[in-house]
Amino acid sequence: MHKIWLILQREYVSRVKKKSFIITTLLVPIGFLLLFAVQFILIAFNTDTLRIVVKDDSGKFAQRIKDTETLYFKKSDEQLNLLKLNYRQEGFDGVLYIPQLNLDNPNGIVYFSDKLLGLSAKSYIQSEIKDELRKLKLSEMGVDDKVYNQVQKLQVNISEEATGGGSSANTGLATAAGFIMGFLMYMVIFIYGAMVMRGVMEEKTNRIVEVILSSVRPFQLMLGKIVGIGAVGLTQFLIWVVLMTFINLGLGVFAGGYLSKMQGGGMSLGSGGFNAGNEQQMEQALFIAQSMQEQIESLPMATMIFGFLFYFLFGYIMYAALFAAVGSAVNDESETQSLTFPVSLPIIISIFILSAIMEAPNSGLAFWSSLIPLFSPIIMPFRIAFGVSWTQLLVSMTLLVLGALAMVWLAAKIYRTGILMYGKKVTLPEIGRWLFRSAA
Amino acid sequence: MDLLIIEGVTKVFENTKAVDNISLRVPQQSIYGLLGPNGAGKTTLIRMITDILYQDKGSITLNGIPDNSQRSLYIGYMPEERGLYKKMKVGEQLLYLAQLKNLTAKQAKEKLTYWSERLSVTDWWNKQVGELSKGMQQKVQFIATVIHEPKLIILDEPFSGLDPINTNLIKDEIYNLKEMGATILFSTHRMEQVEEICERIALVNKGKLILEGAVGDLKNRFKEHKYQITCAETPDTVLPDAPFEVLNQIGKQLIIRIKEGYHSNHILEYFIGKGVHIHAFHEILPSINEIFINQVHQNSNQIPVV
Repeated sequence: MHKIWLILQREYVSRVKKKSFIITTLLVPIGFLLLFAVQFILIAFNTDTLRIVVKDDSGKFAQRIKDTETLYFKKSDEQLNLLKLNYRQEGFDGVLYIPQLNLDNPNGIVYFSDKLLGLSAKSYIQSEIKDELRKLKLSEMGVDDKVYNQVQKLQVNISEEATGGGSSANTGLATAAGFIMGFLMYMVIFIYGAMVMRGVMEEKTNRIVEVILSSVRPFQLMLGKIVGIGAVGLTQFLIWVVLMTFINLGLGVFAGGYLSKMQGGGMSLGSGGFNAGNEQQMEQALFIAQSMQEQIESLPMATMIFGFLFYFLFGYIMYAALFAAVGSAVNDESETQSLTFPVSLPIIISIFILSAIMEAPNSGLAFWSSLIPLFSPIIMPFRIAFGVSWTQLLVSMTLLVLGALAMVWLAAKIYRTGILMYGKKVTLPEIGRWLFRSAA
Repeated sequence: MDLLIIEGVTKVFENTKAVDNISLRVPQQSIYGLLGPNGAGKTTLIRMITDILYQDKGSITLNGIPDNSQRSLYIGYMPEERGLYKKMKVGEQLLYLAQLKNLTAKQAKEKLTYWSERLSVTDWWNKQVGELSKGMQQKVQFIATVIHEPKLIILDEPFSGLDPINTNLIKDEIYNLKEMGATILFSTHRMEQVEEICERIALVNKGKLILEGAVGDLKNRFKEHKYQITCAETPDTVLPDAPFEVLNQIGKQLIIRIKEGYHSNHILEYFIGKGVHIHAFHEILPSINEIFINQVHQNSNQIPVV
């Protein structure tokens, strides 16, 4: 035990001290922050107001299109041809022409400019005109404005409740959260598994392994390495979680302050885009943001975090053992290709299964693949987001632990033979024979 | 007393017998040479002694304890292919390797201070191993081998790649360690070093032990009764009734083989009787190299790689 601890320490410390570790650990949250900052700056400091002259032949819309932070509208009664010629001299960016509209077939609205209107401005104007058109059409049919406004505010949400002891959550959100977890797991198993493989190979090609093995058992060396690198992974996660939380909190405070300052300005970071300068839309955006928050809270967060850590730990141990076996059997990087393929295959299959069960998280395929140890580290975290019964979870976790232990045991047999084998290229059948040999 | 006793040890890989029923005894506080051409089974034998591999048959007794699983703690092993973590600092690396041999961090530091001063690597303490010259890396490896004061030190080709100054330095350290009570098992195919350093040798070929004994005894055992004699002037043609035959003559120097039933004094009497002035006279003993090549030849028709 003492020696495994020493090895674990070395593996851990030598990696955590590396510049590359420190840089990636800090860069990921900083990148995250930068992404937010750029988005924020684009929104906040995009003060270029688009000035538009509106020529409204129908006379019903021009006064209805309200100005926003970035859009300024001016009604004009001049001739369209003159406006088209002169708008630039008068300091406008374009001319919006609204003809006499047929309410049943409102065609003929044109924007004249030498610059494109831009997606958000276009959709804003369209929605304003559409809104007004609806009102006109409805009042034509005898519906009052007040009634219309009330109808507009009606909202429907289907909330789901699981009956099998799971928790309730929004399906779309659960799918997204589950997929992100599954995919993240796929990435970390590959990244840290490959790290173990390279570590084993380095020791073998460096020939230090013979010095170390004159002090410790091959199994101790392998296990110390796997657990040490796993601890590096957990450390990185932990730092990310802490940094992200701080960044989130900071952003929240900042954005909150900004929002209150901009009251009525129609800016909402929560939905990440423009919102119109009317209060109704502002309220809507806040409502969406709020219900998002509630829905995220409705996910089984504690189980998800626990599940992710558990499945990471044992899934990683299982695959890292296999990668260690591969690293021990090869002489150089070029030989790893053919041997990593059979090891990566189940991980890749897991991702295929994951996309297949996205639409059906409770199908038979989802159920069985979340029990099989080779697949469960990627499939089960996905299912947890939808709520899984404790019995299923327990069976899957037990099977995974057993699977991981079995894999470590098998890998150790390959490892202790491979690590001292130099020169010739090994084939899969040969590795198979190592498994059935007694002591090395 | 024998520190290391190997009895009937056999190791089979797939279909080849890498080590075939080898028995030998390494006396305490001796320098023992393990010789053999490449692929003779030396490394496999050493790996079994250091407990990296298990023997299929036989037993290995160190310090009176047969097949002790703690054996490796009493052994310091420097493999032929040197290996250190290139990206690790010298000090950290030595500390780590010493702790793997069950030294506490405090003990390890004390020992390391002593050894790094002795071999003048103190200035390199905070350098990465990869930045060091090859000779310097060898010194670091040597310290890693002896840091835990092992009873048995196994050195596989310890001088390969060393310049003459460092070779002498390490050689002196080997003698010094022996004086302090250690036993050294020295694996090599460089015969001139064996003759110079080792007291006893074992000759291994194709997994089998073909010769074992004290260096002086072996030389006597395989001597061919040859002498070299240098005269003041070129002697007359040697008569057929002389107690020896001439194998080679270059001017005043003759190499002769004594005939059955005679001894060296008869040669001198013969020359003195002829009135020849003798400048020098000595027996020619076979070098370990010659014995080695002879023995390997006798045991196989292949020419050994020396």
